[in-house]
Amino acid sequence: MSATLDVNAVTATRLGVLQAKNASGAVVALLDVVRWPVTVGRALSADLLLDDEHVAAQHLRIDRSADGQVVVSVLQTLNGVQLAQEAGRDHHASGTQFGWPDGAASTGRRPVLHLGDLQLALRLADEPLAAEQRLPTCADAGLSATAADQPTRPSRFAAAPATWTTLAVLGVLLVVGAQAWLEITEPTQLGRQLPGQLGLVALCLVVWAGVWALATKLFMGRLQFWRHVRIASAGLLATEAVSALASVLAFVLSLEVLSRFELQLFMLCLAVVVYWHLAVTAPQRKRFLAWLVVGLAALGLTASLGTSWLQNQRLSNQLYMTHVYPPGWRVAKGVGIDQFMDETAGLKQKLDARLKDRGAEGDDQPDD
Amino acid sequence: MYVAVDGKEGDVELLAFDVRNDLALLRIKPSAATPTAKAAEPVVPVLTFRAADKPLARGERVYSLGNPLDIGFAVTEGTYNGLVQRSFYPRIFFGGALNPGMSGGPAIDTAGEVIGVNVSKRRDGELVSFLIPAEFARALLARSANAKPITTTAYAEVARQLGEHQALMTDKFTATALTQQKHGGYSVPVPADSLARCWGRGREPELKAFNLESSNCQVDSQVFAGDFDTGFIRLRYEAYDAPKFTPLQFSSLLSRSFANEYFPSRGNRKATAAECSERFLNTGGLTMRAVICVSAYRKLTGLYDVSVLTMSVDQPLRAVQGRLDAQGVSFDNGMKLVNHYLSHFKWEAAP
Repeated sequence: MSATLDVNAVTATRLGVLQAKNASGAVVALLDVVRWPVTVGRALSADLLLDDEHVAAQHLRIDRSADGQVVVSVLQTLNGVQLAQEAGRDHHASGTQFGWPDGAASTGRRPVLHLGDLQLALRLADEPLAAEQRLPTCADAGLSATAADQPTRPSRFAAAPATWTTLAVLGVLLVVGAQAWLEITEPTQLGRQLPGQLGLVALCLVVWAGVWALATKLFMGRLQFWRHVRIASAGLLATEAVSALASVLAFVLSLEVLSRFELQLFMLCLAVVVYWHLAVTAPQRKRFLAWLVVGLAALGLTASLGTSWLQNQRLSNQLYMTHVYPPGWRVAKGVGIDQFMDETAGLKQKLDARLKDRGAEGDDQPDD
Repeated sequence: MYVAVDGKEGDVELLAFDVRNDLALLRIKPSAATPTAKAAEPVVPVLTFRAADKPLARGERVYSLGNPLDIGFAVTEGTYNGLVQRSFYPRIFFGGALNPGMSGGPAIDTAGEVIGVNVSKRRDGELVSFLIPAEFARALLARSANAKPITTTAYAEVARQLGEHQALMTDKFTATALTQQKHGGYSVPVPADSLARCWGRGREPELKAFNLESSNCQVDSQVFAGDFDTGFIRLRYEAYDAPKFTPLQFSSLLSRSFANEYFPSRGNRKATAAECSERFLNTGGLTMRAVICVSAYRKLTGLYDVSVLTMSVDQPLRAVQGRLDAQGVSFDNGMKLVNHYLSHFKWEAAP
């Protein structure tokens, strides 16, 4: 080859590009395809040289048929090659041949081939080129961008993440502040305790979102830290709202059962929040993750209710409704002593049942 | 088994017991030994009871006999101080030292006649001890001197005696007029001074933002039933008044107090876990949140621990929390006590 090769001439004859990427997505080998067929392998004679011990000397031959289809022949190899399809990976063993399909209409991207620890991607010169994608910016992650900074975006969506993140975090801090204020028993208490409590909640939020962000970085290559902050904050607010609503309704309507299962309500809310985080961490496996979370939540609920039942023959260890609210909130009517005493008489039967059931609360249990 | 003063040992058998007065009647086992061996057995001294028509005067010398802390036989000196006021069953106030190991030992006068049986002392005082008047021991002896020895567990008999005890206690409590204790418009029932000991009334001084008055009363009728005390009634109040709070802050304060109450949520050897019933209750012109929890004794059949917890919910910045515990009562008597208690709450116009 001449040292003064005309670059344009090469460019003009480029038929395609074959790229080998490692697990973290870095290109480790690249071949400008200027003629068909090309070979892929570990041998120095291969067109695309892959220095991977799980790759054969001559692993693949890639050709284009007359009708333009890309055809892959699997050569002398132990491991064969896998074609990544939406449903899973198709394995092709040594000596077989298959067509390398065009990209699906949805992604516009040709599926990759897996050989050894590497991925092989192919782009053809005669393929239409997908439009340029916007970088996932800070605005996406809700860091600082506002509508004014991003005039090319539909303003509502540009503003949303940042605004929502700010609102959610402020909401959490407000709830923490409100709870501290509710529990004041002496004048100077709020000033002394609030900064510490706010700091602790903020720290927990950062650590929680940080762990999820690291996981997202691992699977998706992006941190999405602020998105996780948003999810965690919104989840915390929702959990607080659900728990407050349950205990207020329990008081207002004298529906004591609503106050019995605080732990289980919390577990359900936690499951939703965790699913939400997982869906960001690995969006391509949403369905699996949904089932995983549903399964774990069911397991947790069964365990907590079951333990309580086995130990005490009741589903909740909460013996009575402990929350009271301002008297004006009460809607449920009070009853007279006689009615209350009549209802209470039923306890005798329940206690008789407990006395008979010696298996669960037998002699082997320690005294208080 | 017993150990005589001279260190010799022998076996005893239980003939009868009186749970209410914490007495047991023991007899030295008739020996199966030969007459010659019998002669070597310790000679047990016999004491006589002081005649009931010869009452002691306050300040008279009394000697209490026993084996304190298993150190050795001891005689401690003290004075007779009459009967304890507000004791459910008569008890002699003994101005002398009693120590563990002396319980059941006799207390004698200067003539050597038995006037009582060592039973207990106050840990928070000095030389404040109690004796069971000899009349109960004399009665038990008269009743059961020829009884057959008890060789098995006697839960049924304990339960029967406790049943009599709680019936008496319930009757006394419901028959004695409850006095009304005022907490800023709320009027709550407390037992009469003759029946119960009350303490701790008054404002908690260290609280700046709100006022809390708390009080406790106890009918000191507890009896010792094997390994726990039972057979008594206790009342407790906490009255909150917080004009500087908002209603929501105030209800948060009340919630924490209402939640911070113990009921047995798990069963144990003594009793089952509690079963509770709860309601908004209208009584005496006020509305209260009321919780009744009951747990059943396992071996002492027919006896229960009954508790009722109340929190007034009709004033935004004022409330009173009340609690009555009746330990070791029949279910019906428990309900009777709770009913009696609940019907004595009142709201009167703020002072």
